[in-house]
Amino acid sequence: MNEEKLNEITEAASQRCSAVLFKLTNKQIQVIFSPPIITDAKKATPLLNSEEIGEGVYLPIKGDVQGSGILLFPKEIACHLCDIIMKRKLHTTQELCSFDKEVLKEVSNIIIGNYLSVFSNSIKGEVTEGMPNFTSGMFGAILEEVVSNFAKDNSKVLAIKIEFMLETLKLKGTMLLLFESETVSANWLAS
Amino acid sequence: MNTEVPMGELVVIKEEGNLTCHAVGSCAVVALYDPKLKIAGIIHAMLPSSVPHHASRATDNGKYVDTAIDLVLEKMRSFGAQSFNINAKLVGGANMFNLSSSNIGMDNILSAKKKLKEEGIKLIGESIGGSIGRSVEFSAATGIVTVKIIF
Repeated sequence: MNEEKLNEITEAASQRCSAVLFKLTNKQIQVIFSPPIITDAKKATPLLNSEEIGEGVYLPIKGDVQGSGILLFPKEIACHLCDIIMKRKLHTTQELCSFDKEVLKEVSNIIIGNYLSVFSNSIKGEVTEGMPNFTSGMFGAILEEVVSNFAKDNSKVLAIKIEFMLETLKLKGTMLLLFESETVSANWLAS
Repeated sequence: MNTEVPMGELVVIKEEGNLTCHAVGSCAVVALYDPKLKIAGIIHAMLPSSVPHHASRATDNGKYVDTAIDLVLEKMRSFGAQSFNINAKLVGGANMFNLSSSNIGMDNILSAKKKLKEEGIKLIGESIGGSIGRSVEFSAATGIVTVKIIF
């Protein structure tokens, strides 16, 4: 796999994520991406042991490349984002209502969808996201099921981690994309 | 001393110290204890069964519930524990996203219960299922398992 090209894709896709987040919120959002790594799924993130509480949105990744996308929002960021998007006075939201949860699902859908669009174009294939699923709880617990699913086949994953930080909060949210590395390689070689 | 037991690992200690597993979701944590000799063993397994995966015990020792229980019991016995003294407590098996397509959590729990029954180990406590994360602390001195749930 061409590491340099992969870094380029990730950087381009991250910038696109940043632009999308800016459009959604009208706030500058810093997006930090880590270089993609090929690893065991359970080594893809240090958040697996994290007891931090927040919201998680999981989207299966389908098409020519298989995988999972997951967004983790610390509770304060989740509430803040919902206030901004729903044009409420900031700090109004203390607990998410069912409508807020739908908002976060949609935000995740847009962010991951945009990322995958750049990714698809680069591998000249079709990669799309499935229906988003929402949960709340400890970040580590949220990640366990997603990671365990990859462990079934003993396969390595291509892990891409992107952190986004709302300037007003200085709190980081995390997007983690895990691709089955075999399907990435196959498509990469074919493109 | 606290020993963190990450996903896919197992640890056995004697008399002193705590074994901890943070933010357990769908995994099965089985805490096994011989109260006479104060031998504590814990598994933090990710998947229910090694059978369809042709697991290698050397590399996947703690990944599957069934092989992890085999191995932790083997280790405990090597410390002097005897099966008829060992009891078990079971934690985890959550289905965080309530996905209908997969329920690894419940499969892990069922596999653990089946394996413990086969081994003749008494299950004396459990905190399982739901869509909540749990953190576990297991004291080798007392055998007490403390489960922290944050919501």
